[in-house]
Amino acid sequence: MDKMKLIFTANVVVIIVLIVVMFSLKGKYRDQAQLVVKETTEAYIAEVNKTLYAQGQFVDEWNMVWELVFESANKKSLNPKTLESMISAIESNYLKNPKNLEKLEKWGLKELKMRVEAEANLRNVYLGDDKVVVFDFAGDKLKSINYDALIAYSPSEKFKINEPAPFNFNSKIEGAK
Amino acid sequence: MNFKTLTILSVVMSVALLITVFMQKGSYVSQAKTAYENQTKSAFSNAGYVVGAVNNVIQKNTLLWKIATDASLNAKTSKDFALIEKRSDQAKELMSPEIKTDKETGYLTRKVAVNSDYYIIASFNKKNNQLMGVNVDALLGKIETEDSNGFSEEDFEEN
Repeated sequence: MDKMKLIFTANVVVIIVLIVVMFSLKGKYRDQAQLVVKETTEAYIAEVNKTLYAQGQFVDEWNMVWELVFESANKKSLNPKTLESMISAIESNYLKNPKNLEKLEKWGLKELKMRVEAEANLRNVYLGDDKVVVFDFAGDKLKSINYDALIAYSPSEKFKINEPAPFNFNSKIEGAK
Repeated sequence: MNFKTLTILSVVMSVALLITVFMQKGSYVSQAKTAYENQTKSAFSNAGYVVGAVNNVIQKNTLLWKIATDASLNAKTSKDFALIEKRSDQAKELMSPEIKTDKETGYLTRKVAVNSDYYIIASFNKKNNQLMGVNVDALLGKIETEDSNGFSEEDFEEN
């Protein structure tokens, strides 16, 4: 009977300890779950938005390049100086549209500029790191505009949304205690 | 209830509590996983749709920009324009062109579109079929308001 009493007492102690452990772990797991879900979801949405913003920025830049090519094709005479003024005009017209200003603010930019680099008689226009248009001048006259790369440019490989990573309850959380 | 039964019950209870302690983490992990998957999958699906749609617009608008630029550089007449349009649209992505006469200028206009939002309008002199210009305002996001009384239906001669 004494042995039975001892087992019972020990069990009561174990039960009390387990109840305390259960409640303290419950709070810990709940807090951890909320924090992990919040932070991992926010991180994924930030990554998605980054791609969306990059694509939005690309589209506007791409349109500006096409506008430049189209306007150049319609110019009776074009020299490096007039090309420069056309670029400036397109870039400043872009800023006149309030919708574009809203977009720039969202992207954290103050302006959107085309990347144009001079190389001897050539003026190379880039989209990102890709050379997409080449204006070839002979002195003060335009010899040719090569925009084949702009036509062939496919952004579908550049802008892709990755699937969310598998959920990891124990993922390292910034600021977690 | 004798003491022996009470002891057995307490043992059962402590085992049950021990199991609960081990299982409660699993329950929170499962709930958290469901919440994470619901939110991220919805973002993935919505953003994937937007990116795909924009990529598609880029691809289709490239066709319109190409036709407009090629025509500005190389087309002199409606026949040249039609040839550029035909050669450029190998994948048959363009809608049937809309041909009208602009009452203001008297020019014959040919609206080449990939959908109702994106199109270019080429204008031709009816007397000699000469290309007078290509309007790309729709590609530049400038909304063009068409006066329904300013146009009249007319056949387009491609010769």
